[in-house]
Amino acid sequence: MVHILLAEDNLPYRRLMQIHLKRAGYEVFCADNGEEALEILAHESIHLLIADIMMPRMDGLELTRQLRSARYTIPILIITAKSTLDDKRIGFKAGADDYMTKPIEMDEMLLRVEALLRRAHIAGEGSLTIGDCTLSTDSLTVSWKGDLIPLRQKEFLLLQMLLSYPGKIFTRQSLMDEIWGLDSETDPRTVDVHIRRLREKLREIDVFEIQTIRGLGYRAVLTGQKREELP
Amino acid sequence: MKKLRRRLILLFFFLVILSSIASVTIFWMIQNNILFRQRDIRYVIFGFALKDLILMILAIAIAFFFVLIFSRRTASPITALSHAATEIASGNLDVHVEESDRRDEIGELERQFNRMVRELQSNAYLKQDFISNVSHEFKTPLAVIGGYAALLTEDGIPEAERKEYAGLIMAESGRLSRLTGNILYLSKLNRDEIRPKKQAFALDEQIRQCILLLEPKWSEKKLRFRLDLIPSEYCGDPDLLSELWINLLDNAVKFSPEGGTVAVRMEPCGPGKYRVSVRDDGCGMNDETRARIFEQFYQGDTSRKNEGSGLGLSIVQRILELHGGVIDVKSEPDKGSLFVVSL
Repeated sequence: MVHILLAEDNLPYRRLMQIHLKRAGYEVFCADNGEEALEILAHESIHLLIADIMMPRMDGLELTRQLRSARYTIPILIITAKSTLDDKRIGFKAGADDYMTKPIEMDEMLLRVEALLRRAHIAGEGSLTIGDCTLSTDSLTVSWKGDLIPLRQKEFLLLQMLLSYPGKIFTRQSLMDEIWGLDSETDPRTVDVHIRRLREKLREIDVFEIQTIRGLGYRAVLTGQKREELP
Repeated sequence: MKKLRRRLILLFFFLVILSSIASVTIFWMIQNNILFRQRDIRYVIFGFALKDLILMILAIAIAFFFVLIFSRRTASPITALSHAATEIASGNLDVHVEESDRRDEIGELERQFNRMVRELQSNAYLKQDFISNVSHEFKTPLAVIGGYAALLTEDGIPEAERKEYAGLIMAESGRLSRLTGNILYLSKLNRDEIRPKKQAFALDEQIRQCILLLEPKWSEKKLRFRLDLIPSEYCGDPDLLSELWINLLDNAVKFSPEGGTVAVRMEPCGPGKYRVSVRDDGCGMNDETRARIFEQFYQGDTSRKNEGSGLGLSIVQRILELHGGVIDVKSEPDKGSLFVVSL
């Protein structure tokens, strides 16, 4: 059972989020402010924190900073009414993993929570499994129905990125920035080359496929939930 | 303040000289028995000879006389300005000062003061307009929400209707929150002190990211994107321009039919300048609508059945203004619309 800590001082809003999270199968702990949140974190095993920024006694940003400097690596989702891009930057700089501005769609919140948990799980477990296919971060290998398919480091990271967010489109530039680094001199066309190689090496696998979205980029699609092909 | 200061210094100097000359003259006249007979003024008061005392008083009186005359020229405009400022502070914007033709700082102050009053007046009208538009835009959704909520409290309403009313409440609350967001953003943009950042960034990648941001909306409508972007570096405010693309693309997505295509093209038109066009094949606009789309709160379809706030294009226009860019619209009913942005 996944434990989520909700730090939000507005009671009706917190109740709303709690209802949706509970329905989605999570166990929810509630805190009114940053200090209470820290209390709870000390006593319960929490997998994810959702925090508002504007809270009395200790605000969401301070809470995030304290957690990060105490080496807590749990994913933190900030949900707040503060919506300028500078606010977002400050939030991410403090150590948040994701940022949503009110009013939010509860569905979107659940999707983001799911994505954050999945990423943390992959990071924690060191592996990602889809059907008969498992990616192992330590050995940089993909195992498919018992067979090991070795990949080069960048190929693996690329595949892992795409599969961590199935259905999400990534532009070549953003893949370059994530995997080759922001200061890289390499051409985004390198991404194309790597994708081609990946498709070659993984052509046996049928639980997912890598789609090209013309003009935009690439995405991995799980064939269990096949999406419309975009030409 | 150089001119005024120079004038005042000259004035002071002039007065000192004048008084000295006057004093010396009178002294000479006394010496030579012209005014008074020296014999008469031999009394001593407080250790001063009477004649010295009279001299001093006369000098002061003459100086005072001249100061009175010349200070009026400097002080009276300031008094007038002070009165006018007091009027404005108490809310009456219908004042202005007489503009003399002086070429010094006081004259400049008078001219600028009147200009400031004109600016304040125009701002006040705009604000009033804006506020009455805003309250109008809020009243109807609020009335809808209140009305349907009241209906929901009744007993015995069939399930389907209950869902319908709740859905309407949700839609209108959504509309209101988007509206507030846009209004706040637009008024932030309209403040004169706003200074857009100047940063170099990849314009084509930004456009792609904005398209991706809207992905849920366009994939739901099964829209296709035809992109013709060139690798480009532009110098401007990335946050503001991001908003611009999002607004334009959102409109294109909103007005496209299911399965339609949105084409985004980019071409260079000078060093560091680009022309970006967004074309949709939606319902298009007639001439009348096209002429008014940049007005605040204007929406072609007044039934408000879509979720827009009518402010998107005002925001676009303002952001372009801040970057020295322009936008052009071509549209015909049922033939889609083409928005061309030149940056």
